[in-house]
Parts: sequence; C-alpha cells; structure tokens
Amino acid sequence: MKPAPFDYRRPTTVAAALTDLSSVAGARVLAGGQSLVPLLSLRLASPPVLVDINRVAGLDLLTTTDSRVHIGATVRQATVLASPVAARHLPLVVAALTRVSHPQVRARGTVVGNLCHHDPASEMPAVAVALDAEFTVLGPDGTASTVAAADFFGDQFEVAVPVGGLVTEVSFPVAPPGSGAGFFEVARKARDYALLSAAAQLTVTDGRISAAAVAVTGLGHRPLRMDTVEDALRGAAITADALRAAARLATGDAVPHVNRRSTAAYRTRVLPVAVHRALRAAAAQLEEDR
Amino acid sequence: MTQTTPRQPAPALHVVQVTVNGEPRDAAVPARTLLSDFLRDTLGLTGTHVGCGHGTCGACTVLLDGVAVRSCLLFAVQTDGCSITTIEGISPDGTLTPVQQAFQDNHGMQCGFCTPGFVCSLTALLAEDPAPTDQRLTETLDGHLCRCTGYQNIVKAARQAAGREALS
Amino acid sequence: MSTPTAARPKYVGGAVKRREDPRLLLGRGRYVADIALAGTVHMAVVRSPHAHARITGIDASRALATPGVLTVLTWPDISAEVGPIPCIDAYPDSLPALQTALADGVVRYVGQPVAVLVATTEYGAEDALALVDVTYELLTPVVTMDDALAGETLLHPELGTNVVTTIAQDVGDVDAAFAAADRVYEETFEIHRYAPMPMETRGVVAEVDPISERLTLTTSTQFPHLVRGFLSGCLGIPESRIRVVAPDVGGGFGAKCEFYCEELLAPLLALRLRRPVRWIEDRREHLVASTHAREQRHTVRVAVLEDGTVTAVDARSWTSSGAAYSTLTTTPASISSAMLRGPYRIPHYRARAHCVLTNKTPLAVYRGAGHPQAVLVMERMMDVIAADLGRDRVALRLQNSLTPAELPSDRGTAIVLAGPVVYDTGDYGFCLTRAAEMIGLDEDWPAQQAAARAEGRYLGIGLANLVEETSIGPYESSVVRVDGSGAVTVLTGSSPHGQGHVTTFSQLVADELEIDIERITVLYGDTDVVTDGVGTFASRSAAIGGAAARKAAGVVKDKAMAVAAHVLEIDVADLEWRDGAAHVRGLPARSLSLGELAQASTAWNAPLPGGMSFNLEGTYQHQAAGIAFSNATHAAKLAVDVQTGEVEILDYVVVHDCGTVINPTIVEGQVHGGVAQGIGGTFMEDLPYDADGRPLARTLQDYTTPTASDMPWIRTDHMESPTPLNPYGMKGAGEGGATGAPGALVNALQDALSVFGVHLTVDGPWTPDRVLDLVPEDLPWA
Repeated sequence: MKPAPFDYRRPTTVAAALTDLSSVAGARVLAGGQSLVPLLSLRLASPPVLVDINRVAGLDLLTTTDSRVHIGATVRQATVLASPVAARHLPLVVAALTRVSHPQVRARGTVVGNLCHHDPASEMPAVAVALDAEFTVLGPDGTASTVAAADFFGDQFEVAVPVGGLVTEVSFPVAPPGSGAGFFEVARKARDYALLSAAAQLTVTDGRISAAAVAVTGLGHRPLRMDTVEDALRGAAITADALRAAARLATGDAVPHVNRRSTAAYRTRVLPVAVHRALRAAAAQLEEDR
Repeated sequence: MTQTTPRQPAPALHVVQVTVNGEPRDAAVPARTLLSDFLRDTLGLTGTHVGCGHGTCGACTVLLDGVAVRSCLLFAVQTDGCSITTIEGISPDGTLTPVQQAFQDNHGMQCGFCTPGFVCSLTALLAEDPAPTDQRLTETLDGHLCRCTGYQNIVKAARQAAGREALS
Repeated sequence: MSTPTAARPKYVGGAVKRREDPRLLLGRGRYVADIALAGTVHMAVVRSPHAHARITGIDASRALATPGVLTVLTWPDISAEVGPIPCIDAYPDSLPALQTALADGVVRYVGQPVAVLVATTEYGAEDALALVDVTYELLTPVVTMDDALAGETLLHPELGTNVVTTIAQDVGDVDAAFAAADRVYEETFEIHRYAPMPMETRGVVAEVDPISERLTLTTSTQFPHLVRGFLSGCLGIPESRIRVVAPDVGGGFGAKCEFYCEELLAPLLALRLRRPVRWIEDRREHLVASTHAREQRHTVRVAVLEDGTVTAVDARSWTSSGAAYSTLTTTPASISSAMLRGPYRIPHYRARAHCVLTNKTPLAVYRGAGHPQAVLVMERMMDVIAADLGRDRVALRLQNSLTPAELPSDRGTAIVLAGPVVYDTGDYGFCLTRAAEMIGLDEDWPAQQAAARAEGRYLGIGLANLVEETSIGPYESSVVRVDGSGAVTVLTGSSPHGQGHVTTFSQLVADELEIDIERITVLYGDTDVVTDGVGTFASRSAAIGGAAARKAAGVVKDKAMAVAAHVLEIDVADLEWRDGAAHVRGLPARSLSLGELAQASTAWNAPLPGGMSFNLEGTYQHQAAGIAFSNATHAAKLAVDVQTGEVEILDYVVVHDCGTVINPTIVEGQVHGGVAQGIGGTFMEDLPYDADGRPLARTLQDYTTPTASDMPWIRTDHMESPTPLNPYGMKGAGEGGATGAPGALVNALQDALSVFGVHLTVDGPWTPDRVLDLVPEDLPWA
C-alpha cells in the first residue's frame, strides 16, 4: 500500500502554484493530504504531479472582513477549532469540525481541502451550503472568481474548480447576534464516517426566528439545503413544537449507493430526525448563550 | 540470450533535512516516500508502527513540530525543515515518562503494537493542555485503534496521566 | 533458635505489573516489519480479483523487463517443489480441498495468490504488481450458503459436493425425548462473517542463514514450532534444517494461528535467490488474504417439558468455510457442535455440523472459535423458551444448569484436536445469579423498562452463560536454567502475542523457587532457543505452558536440593527450601543460595554425586490430562435510540471463572479485549460480499472496529474453581470475553425491542439501519 511515483513541486507563490498545476495534465493540489494520501497509497489515484501548496505565502491566513470570516487554503481544521474568531463568529463551523475525523487528522487537514474533496458523507459541505459560504477560485491564468457554495458542489467528489485552477480560500458569514448552531450526525460508531449529517443555524430576533439555515449531507451526491424547513421556521417562536413540525417537513431524495454503510431507506427515514436534532442543538445553544 | 532493457530514469530524489528526536538528520528520498517509511526504513526508527497505511488506525502517530499527526498521511519531503518526535524520543533518557508509566501501571497495553501511537498522541495533548476535558481526552483516544485491550485500561492510563480521578 | 520469618509473599494471584511493558513503551519492540537484514529484497503477491475463475494466461514479461524486478513465479514454476497448505483438523472422512501456495489454474476467492514477484525495493515490488498480466475465464461464483448447498456450481467438481466435512455428535435418545416433549421450539440463526483483525498485519522475513546454511523464517505467528513443521513438510526439508522465529507479534486472536501461502513462498524465494526475502502484508491484503471467521447458519430444535426442563436439542449447522481448507478449518464447526448446550444439562443431544465451501477467503479460528456462535444460539433459545413459558429468564437457566455437585460431567461430545468434552469444575449458577444481580435484572426491571419507554428510551438487558473449552493439549514444554549469579532463564514453547507471558510465567517460577521476579528472564518464540513447543491459542498458555514452566522450576529446585545435600554432606531430608536457598533445618545460617548451587553444579566445581548431570537446569513436558473448562456469565444493558437506530451500551458485567488466577489484571485485560471484539462483531464489523463474490470491506474505513467511545465500562467479578487437571488449578482466560458478548448483546437488543414483536435470529452486525428496521415507522417522536 504505497503510492505510485509522482513529481513533487513545492511552490511558494500562488502564481508558481498555478504554473505547476498547469504544467502536466492531471496535476493535483496537496494541501493537508488527509484524504488525498490514502487515495494515493491505495492507488485509487495516481496523479503525475503533486503541487504542495503548504508553503505558498498567504494561504495560511484566518481573517475577518466585511462580516465574513475568510479561511485560507492551508488553514488547518485544528487551527480553526482553536481560534477565538471561529468560536465567536462561526459556531456552526466549529460544531461541524469537531465531528470531522480525529484531532490527529485535523492537525493537518485543511477546511478548504476537506470541502474540495467533497466526500458525499462529509460534514462540512452541509455547513457551507447552509451558510452560503463563498469560495475564491483562481483559474489557471490567475483570474479570480467567487463561487457560491450552492454552485460549488457538483456530483460526489466533484467541485467547480477548473483544470489547473486553485481554491485559495473559503469564507463564511459571521453569525449574527442571537444565533445558535447545531450539528447532528448518525454513524455506525463514535466519530466514524457519518451516515447522515444535518447542520442548522437559527437566529432569533425579538423572540422569533429571523433567520434559519439548514442543510444535510449523506442523503445524495451533494449537500442539500432544507428550504422548506427554513421557510417553516422563519418567523416562528422557538418552541419544541415548532422545531418538530419544521423538521418533519425535511424531504429529499436519498441516493441508494452514496455509501455502503446504510440503505437509502434508512437515510430517508432519519432525515427529519437528524434535522430535528440539529435544530434542537441550535436551540439549546441559544438557550445557553442567554 | 540476455535480454537488455533500457534503464528507466532513476526517480528524482529530494533532500529532507529534519530534526528527529533532537538530532539533525538528512537523507535524499523519492517524493513518494511516506514519512512513516522514512522514519522506519531510512532512519531506522522502527518504534513507529504502521497498522493500516491509510490513516485510520493511528499506530503511526508521531509529533510534527509538537503536534500529533499520522505519519502514513504525510510524505517525508513535506516535513523538510520540521522537527519530529517519535516514540523513541518521547523519553530521552530511557525512563518512563508519566504517560508511559501510566500505561504500565494500568495495564493499558497488551501486544504493544498500537501503543506508541497512543503514547505520542497523549504526550502531545498533555504538553499543550495538562488538564484536558473529558471530551478532549476521549477524542484523542478515539483517533487510535487498539484490538487487544478493549480500551478500558487505556482510558484509565490516560486519566492517570492527565491527573484525573480514576473511574470505577 | 531460628527466628521465625514472615512467609514470603506469593506472586501468583497478585496484580504484578507487566515486565514486558517498558521496552514496548519506549519504542524498543521488534516486530517482523522492523527487521532489516542487509541485502533484503521484497516480495509482492499478485492476487485474484475474481471470486471464481479459470486462469487462461499469465504474462510476466512486462514485470520482468522492469529494472529492479528479480523474478516472477507462478504455480507451474513451483508446483514440483511445494506441497499444499496443510490442514491439521480434518476429520478422517473430510473430503480433500487443500489450497496450493499459488493458484493451480483456478482461482477460488478474491485475494488468492496467483503469482509472486520479488523486487529490490518495497515500492518497486508494488509497482510491478500491475505489470503481471493475468487473463481469466470467469466461472459462476458460489457466494451464499444457499448457493453452496444447492450444489449447482462446485468449487472442486471432482469432490461432487461443496460440503466437505460433516461432524456428528450424538448423546442420549433425542427422538424419544422429542416424542415426550410438551413443547418443541425450532429456530434458524444466521451468524455473519467477521475477522480477528489484529493491529499488526502478517509479515515474513526469510533467509538462508549464512553460517549454518539453514532456512530461517521470521514470521508474525502464534505457533512458530508448528510453522517449522509445516514448512518442513511443504518444502521437503528436514525440521532440523529450519529455524522459525516469532518476534514481537502485534496481536493474533486466531488470525496468526495458521500457516499461510506467504510463509511458504518467501522461504522458497530465499532459497532460490539466496537473499533475504521480506513481505509485509498491507491492510488491504489482510482483509482478503488472512483468514476470516464466524460465518455459520444454525437450525436448532429444542424439546422442553411444561415445567421448563429442556430435555433435548437437535442441531444442524453449516459453516461457510471459504474456498479451501485452512490450517484450522473444522475447529469452529467442531466446537459449536460439541459445546452448543453450554452449562445446561440437556441430556439428549444430536448435532450435525457441515463445513461448506464458498468462493470466499478461507474461514478459520478467531478468539472463541465456534463458541460465540454456540452461545448465541443457545442463549437466544433460552430467552425464547422463557418468554413462551412465561418464566423468569434467570430462573429457567438456573433450573437447567449443571450444579457443582454434578461435576465432573461427561457431556458425550468431542472437539477435534482437543478430545472428549468432560466439564471439570465450576459453579455456573453462582456466576449467573451474581451477574443478574450486578446488572440489575430483578423483579423491578420490567417496570423500569416501561417507565423509560414512556420517555422514549428503549432499554434492554441480555444475559449469556458460557462454558468454554480451554487449555487444550497435547502438551507444552519448558526448560528452566540457573546461572552462577542465581539468575534464572525460563524457556517456553508457548509464544505470546500480547498475553504477558514474561510476567505470568515469571510469577509462577518465582513462587516455585521463592526468588524475586526480577531475576527471571523468559525466552520464547525462537525454535533454536526453545527447541520444542506448541504455541499460544485455545486459551492454553497459562494452564499448559505455565504448568510446564512451574514444573520445570520444581525439577530445578529438586536438583538444587540434591546438590546442596552433596556439598553440605548431609541428608536431603535435613534441608528445606526457603527464599531461593537450601537451608539446613535448625541451622538457618547454614544455607546455599540458588546461585551458589548453580556454581556447585558446574563441571569445574564438581564432581557431583553419581550420575547427576552438570549444570542447574530442568526440563518438563506438561501433558494435558484433559480439557479444562472455564465459564462465565455476561450481562449487558443497552439503550436503543428508536429514532436513529443507534445503540448505546450502558453497562456490561462479566462474572467469570478461569480457575486459579495468576494475575487478575492480565485476566481482566483479556476479558475487556474479548468483550470489545464481541461488541465490534455485534454492532459494526462485517465482511460482506457482493453477488459476484467481491468483498466489500477493503480497508479499516469499511471494516470498522470499536474505538474507546464505543465501549461501556466493563465491570468484572471473579470466582475461582481450580481445575484438577493441573497441579496449580489454572484454566484459560483468553477467549471468554469474545465468547459471551454476542449472545448477551443480542439478547439485550431483543429485550429492548420486544415490545415491537421483534424476534432476533441474526447475530448482527446491528448497524443503525438494521436496528431501525425493527422499529415501526409510525412510532411517535419522543
């Protein structure tokens, strides 16, 4: 279980990284490597070139601007979890990241890399879609564009990044005052790959839900925003009945073989349950903060 | 007749300069050399074990600049310039550290294959946070598989090392 | 007048800290993958991607043309030199279905070795695998038990059937008992396929020793001495020309109680290439190339009288043995059929156990071998009967359990390689009563369950009684040696892989010689150092190997006394052994220590009295007089989340009896580890195959084992019923944890969900989706 040979490049600037990525067809970005390296060792992928972006200047920044928190492409998941900025402004990101793998993996794994890998069972794409995250995507020529999460995730393991391109950051909106976040997943065992994940953020203004963001992963090939649930919650008072009623509206088509770990029927059945638990966790956090 | 074949170009070698257990070490290796293989085969530090080779079991955990990471999920070339501590360097003088002693005191090991990974992870955690919460202790242990102990005595060891009261 | 000295504290029975731990904790262990010999080359195995296919061509030219690739071998290249992989537990009427080291024209499971290559680097060897071009003609795969029994496709057409072994156990008059029964229950149980999955995979290093020119094989095995014999038989080389070494072994649990193709291929290549040949199994290989376990179907009929007396069981079982015999193939079926009745009297019993070929990885032993399946079946039946008769689960079990007064009890069955089943000692009722009390299974329990259900929590308690075969023979040998400093070396043929032999064997010998434990060195695992031995499996090390070591120490002590009598020129009857020295009775100052006696025994300080050999050394071969049976009751309490199907184990109790305990900490560790494996098998571990016979679990991401958070806090209680089968009373403790857990857990799940009318006849894995399928869809949300 050893990787096939590859050429290794270690650029220090974004421009050099783009050049390296365009140099050979099939070149791949190596950031945290926590999903990529197993694929290489299992020889499920054997790119001719790996472009290690870990020493590219400026990609390791976690910054707050314009009511958004920007997470650079080499910022580790552990760094975000330990960051007071994230704790204050990104409660849903923090709630989900604690469920991503293990500390020993989060020490190297990056937020951006995890999202770009887009495993259909992964937790973070639900958060990205729920919160309307934005990705800064560079084309091979260096042209930058901003891609909304809703447009970013394609089929499983696919994201909207052009060949030879690079995602330099993801940004999430700062949670408004009066927000609570909840994340829930079902799994075969503690901290295993999720069978189904639900992410929810509720914002309360004057005793009523002014904003609701709810999404799930694990149901199909891409993260799914729970619009009907959000609509039902908006304007409602936070009561157990309201949360339950809204969660029951969660629907979506489960793809049978998105993973071998559970049946589509199972995931369809637990969808409203998972959404409900995430909503309850969000409400509990609001209660705690009061 | 002897068949002659064109020699393939030798793979490019990359010089890796690292500090391992306090000593400067360097070697030139192919880019695809995993850090776990570099430590074990190139440097002869076989205390780091490989249980799965795909990042699940945690047996290969080492400290990279003081942080516990899986050495089978890194290429050696990526660690150029870094400082690495392996199980051989956890106790510089060969006496058991409090974490190691806790494993012996509580019978937190049987075959010993997964043990270096657990010791490295707990050592890193307690260096950063000498009084971790239950949740941090548990999530650190959950990053490792053990097939012998059923974990109960590992939990005991971890709690002793963290100065927590014993569970009964 | 001598001053009375306080009795020397005994090591046996004490929680002595393990002596092997410090070096392992410091990273100084040496496992097979850690061995680096100069000039080593690396073996890689081309494996079948198909479950069942005929090989139509193998073209290695691309691989051979690659720099660094030294050789590629296929079956025709070696068939004249190697015999088939042996099976040691075949019955006299078993049909032959032995595996060859490389496929002999037909592949019969995904992962079967087809060709083997050697390259100068490990990475290069793996690169070359893709350059060996093999073409196949696909054959119909036999995947399920029903496929195999239908017999439309045969794995070995020349045998005329896929059923290669049938084991019979007949006790009493079963038909008469059924004719006289008030009630008859019949159920079919399915037990799924899972595996030992040690954290260290297998691995070998083979070389021709440059000095003696003997073949040396270092291998991660549980029984190096048996491997030496197998290798000798397969290669036609005398055992005296072979050395086998088991270094530190990173767990086995049965997976390394086998002789594998790679253990034959690497030595063959080392002989041909005259270079050290190394192969380390990777985890993806391990999941298909190391033996699987457990998969069985059981159909049982049970005859019961109205008062709850179980009078007869008529049982049939089918084991999905995989594509060929392994070293230990029939043992699971043999044990299941011999031990199904557990602690219960059940005077009339009939079993037919079939080993069935399927296009899957060969199936062999795993911690408990056939016991866990038997316990699950019998303990589920006891709950089924109790529920039907409206009887208390504990009371019904007690009514049918053998009492201590009824022991020893010849059960009338027999286990392959081990012999007749005669329960020796134990108090099954005590363990059951105590476990039920500890877990809280009392008259209030149904009310507690109902109250919890009202809050949406579905709680269940499950029990499982087990009696298990341990300490099997035929024998184990030991040598104890004392040097002039008084340091003691113990050689044992039982080669450990985590059981703590260094500590427990030291305890036994230290007590026998009355010396400090630190003076003892325990050696094992190298057939040149310990020339004779059997191995570590079937919970046999302490009772058989330990007894041999202590007996050998006794031989040394007797000799030391004789030497002391000679040196002191007094009668041996005037000497007493105390604190590691021979003392003259009544003259406490006059004594000779073990070291002094060792010096006196050498040729330089002799002569010794007539005929006595030089040096202070003793050998003892302890032969098992029979099987020692350990017993336990497991009790599990769990909660089912009826909205997600997730199960939380709230409490877990094991009350067990393994005779005299050498080291309670080590015994508890064995129990914990076994229970964890039972929890894994019941709730998450699985080796599913698709309809084409392709295994779906290829990594530890697919094959999930428990982590710390999945484990309940296990509470243990011990009782000690010494066995008369060895002088020290010890029985085996290695396997009971895994044996009792599945039955207790499935019964607990049944108890939690019985309000929904469920009737569990599957052992697992009870993953959330399968559990949720048991819960009505229209259940209101809590």
